[in-house]
Amino acid sequence: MQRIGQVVATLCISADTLRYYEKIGLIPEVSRTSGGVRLYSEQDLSRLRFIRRAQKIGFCLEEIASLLTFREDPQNAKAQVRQLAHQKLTEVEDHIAELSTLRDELRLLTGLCRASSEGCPILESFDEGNNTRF
Amino acid sequence: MTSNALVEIEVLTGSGCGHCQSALGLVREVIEELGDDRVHYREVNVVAEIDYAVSLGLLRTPALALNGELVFPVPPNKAELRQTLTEMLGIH
Repeated sequence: MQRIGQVVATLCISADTLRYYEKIGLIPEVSRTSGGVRLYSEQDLSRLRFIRRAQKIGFCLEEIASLLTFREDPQNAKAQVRQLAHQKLTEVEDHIAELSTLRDELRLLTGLCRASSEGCPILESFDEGNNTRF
Repeated sequence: MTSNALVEIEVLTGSGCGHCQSALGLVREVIEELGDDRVHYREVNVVAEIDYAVSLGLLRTPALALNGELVFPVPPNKAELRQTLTEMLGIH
């Protein structure tokens, strides 16, 4: 079990945000010490890590709430939630494909830069009019 | 025995790449020696055609692609290139 201060430090989520997630039901009510201090279980932390990952990819809290429902009980999730999960899966896969291409491109450019005796191809690629990726 | 196969050699080059001109020279030389008009080559500037270079899996220059496939990620010597081309052209 972790106290709120530890969770803030570990997950880089502010105490206010943690309390807000609990208030809107994104995470279930967290247990408390006799003095009223919040204690987060490993399951709470797992949910919080999931929320953070999903937010980084750009999902809104409403979508994340649905995905968390799906995560809790994938077998009995409603059709709507299943559909959202499927749609988000496609988005994540597209995102990975884009990142993978970007990684390969940067790998090539850094390789060229290292080997180049004059100038740096990375800078040249910035100047390429038809290259809109950067 | 020969086939009707065509071979397009792409010499992948980058600016400031010391060995790229040598690779181009090697390709021209081998094509001239083969004297086979079924072999063509073009120079691909990797920065200008970066999407294509990435799709080939290129990591550095110079390199040679044959018919759209990165066959030589590092330049071959003359004998290796010649042998690969004759095999692709079906020259025995």
